[in-house]
Amino acid sequence: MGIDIWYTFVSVVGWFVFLFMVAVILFYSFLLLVSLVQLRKSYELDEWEPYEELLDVSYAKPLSILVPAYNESAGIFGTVRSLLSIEYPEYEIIVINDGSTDDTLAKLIESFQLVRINHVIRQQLKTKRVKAVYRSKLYRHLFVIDKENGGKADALNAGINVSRYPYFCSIDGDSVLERSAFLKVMKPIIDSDGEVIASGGSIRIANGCEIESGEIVKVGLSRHPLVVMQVIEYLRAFLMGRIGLSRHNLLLIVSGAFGVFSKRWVIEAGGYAHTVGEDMELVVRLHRLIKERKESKKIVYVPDPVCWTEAPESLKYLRRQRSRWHRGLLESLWIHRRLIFNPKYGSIGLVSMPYFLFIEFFGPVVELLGYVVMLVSLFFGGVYIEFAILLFLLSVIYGSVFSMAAVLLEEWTVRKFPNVSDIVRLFLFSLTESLWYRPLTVWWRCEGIVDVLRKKRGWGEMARKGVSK
Amino acid sequence: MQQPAIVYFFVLFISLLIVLTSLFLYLVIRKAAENERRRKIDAYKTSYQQTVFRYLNEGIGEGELSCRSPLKQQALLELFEEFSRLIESELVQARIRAFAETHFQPMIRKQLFHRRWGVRMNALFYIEDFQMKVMINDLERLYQSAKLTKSEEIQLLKIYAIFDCPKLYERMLAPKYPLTEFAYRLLFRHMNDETLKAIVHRFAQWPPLMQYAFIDIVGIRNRSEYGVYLEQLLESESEEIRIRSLKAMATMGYFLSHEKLIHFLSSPLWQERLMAIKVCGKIRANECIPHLVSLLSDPIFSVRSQAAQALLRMENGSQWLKEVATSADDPFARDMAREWLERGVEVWG
Repeated sequence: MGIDIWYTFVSVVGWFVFLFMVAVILFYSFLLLVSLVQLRKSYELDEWEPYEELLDVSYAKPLSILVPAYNESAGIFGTVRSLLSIEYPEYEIIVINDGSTDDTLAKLIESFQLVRINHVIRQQLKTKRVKAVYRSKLYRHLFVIDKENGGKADALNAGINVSRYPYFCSIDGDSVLERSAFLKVMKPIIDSDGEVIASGGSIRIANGCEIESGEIVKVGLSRHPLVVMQVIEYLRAFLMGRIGLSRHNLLLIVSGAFGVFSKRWVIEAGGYAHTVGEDMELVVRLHRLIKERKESKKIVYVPDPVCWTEAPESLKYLRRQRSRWHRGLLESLWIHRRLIFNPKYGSIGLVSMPYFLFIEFFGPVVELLGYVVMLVSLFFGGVYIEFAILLFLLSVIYGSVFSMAAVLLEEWTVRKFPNVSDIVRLFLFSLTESLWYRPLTVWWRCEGIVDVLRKKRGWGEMARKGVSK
Repeated sequence: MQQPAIVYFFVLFISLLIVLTSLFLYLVIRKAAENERRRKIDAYKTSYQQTVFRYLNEGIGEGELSCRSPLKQQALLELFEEFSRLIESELVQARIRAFAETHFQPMIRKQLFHRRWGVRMNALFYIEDFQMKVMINDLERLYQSAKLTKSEEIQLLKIYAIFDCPKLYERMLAPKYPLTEFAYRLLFRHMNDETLKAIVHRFAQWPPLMQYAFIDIVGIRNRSEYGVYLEQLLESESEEIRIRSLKAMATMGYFLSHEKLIHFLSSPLWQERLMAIKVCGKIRANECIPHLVSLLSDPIFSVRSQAAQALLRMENGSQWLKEVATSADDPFARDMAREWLERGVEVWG
């Protein structure tokens, strides 16, 4: 009798997993279709012409570029150097030294001949104490803020206080931007007369590319299987997910590594908060503000402007990153839980938030359940083996097939990889995703959830973590 | 679970894989072909470069530039486009235009009516770069077509502005898609002086965004002949129009009488105060110094900052700032004066 209950239990869980996956597959297919139509439209559009006009100062809105730095002595010079040569008519660069314990500040002072200036700071957002503001003698648009350590969010808020221009962009210290990236990411904001209040670019993985003095010379693909899988994952997340969401103003993430925001809106929303996933949390808060004020503002994703960032090459760091991301997601969802299924917040409350809760957040849990059911079914034998096969095929569609589609989508539309061999490798690797990489990330993300549950006050603890790794 | 269900599912799965794999094969083959095509075009470009350069500079050797194969044509198209961006000379631009009109017209026309948006946009960019006025009828046909998108419309109107097309004005007033302020600015920017002069008297009938854009462009293009007109606009009911007019005056340094300036320096609208300060600074209106000094204690941060900046430009302005920096009661005013005194040294010294 007891064993029967177990059989029934496994069947029920199995069917639940089955239906969940079918629903998610349908949703992903919808996103894929929207992206495909969008991307094909602008296929072969000239790289430069649409943006040429924006170089004219009379149209472009000036931009403050914020670079938070915590112990980045090794990379900071290169990052700032590459920012000094970007293509944009009017901008300032503000590096925020967030109480580094190494020689980040000394290096900046020496390389760029910084002089301390007497700058009145407009405290629109509360931050830790700012010790000094410096300005470069060589480049008049380069400023450095030296402040007490307060974490990445605090550093960005301090940068917002000091910035002079109406739009700001946050950039991670260890990423490389294409020279025209700012023009491209600002275009929707300028074109729409400011109806777009935040706009995010694509993130790609720099490992395997040739980089010379802060510029991508040749796009390539790393030899490392773990990196190749991450490349595919990013393609999938950006090309497939965000275009579809952006199209319907459902976007909840503007990546912290590269996004432009309207300063006024961010200040009115209260600036960055001390959370693990401060980038997502801010965007949710902006959406919330838009809905509460009943304004028709938008947050968009621009597929083209590319920011290249370094991906972890070892399991250890990748695992840490993934479980941190998942904690960040949970935190944003928890802070804004009132929005979930709240019709007052329109499509954000009814579609976006539930999507992030059920598919992005609970997805890994259900997938893990699926793997367990598969294993158990194998033991049960008989008709259950077929069920296990069915679930397996489904998870292959969920994992590998969509990743393959994302790779094909990239090659069909954006085409950043110059070599045929890169595409072949991407495709073959994506075929294997469901067999090893997917289960790994599912496990890590579930670990992230367990971490949160175990440390009851874990979120506060995480908040005061320095910038970068 | 019945037997057939899983069989169906399996079939579905396999066909999905087959579809993806064939798509993959197609894309890989296409990529290889495209890479080869690009290599050839680049080779042609290198070999044609000298001849094109000679043709543009001396007007000889057009016969050597063969456009027969599509690859060669593409190479030439790209070369001419690059040169059109690099060389400003009118003579060269005329040669580029002549060559483009004789040799590229059919190709660009085909692209102009392509079903894909990206290709149509590229064709519009070519027409603009090469100044191909000969294609005006094709442009008109595109404008009338049902598939015209918003970005195409703006690009088309911009070309109309560059070509001085008489239809532009009515289309600005009744566009197919509502135009943004940015679009209006773009069009005013490229409009020639005569056209501007011809339409300005109908200003009152324009939609507000068009009015704002016009005012901004008067400032940016430094058209001082419209200064008097802007001064009249300062009487407008609309706050936005008054603020923008002041801003345009500041940009071009229009001499506004100090009575009027003082009126706006004490406006209840901080944006008006800010812009009036900018005008004072630009034209060094020394009569306004006492007002500027009192604006160093304005409740709005950017007004204080702008006032300090303007004072620096005045006769004995730094003297005034020093006084405020040392003896003012208001700590905000003191801080601001100090910052700008220091910046002033940076800027001028």
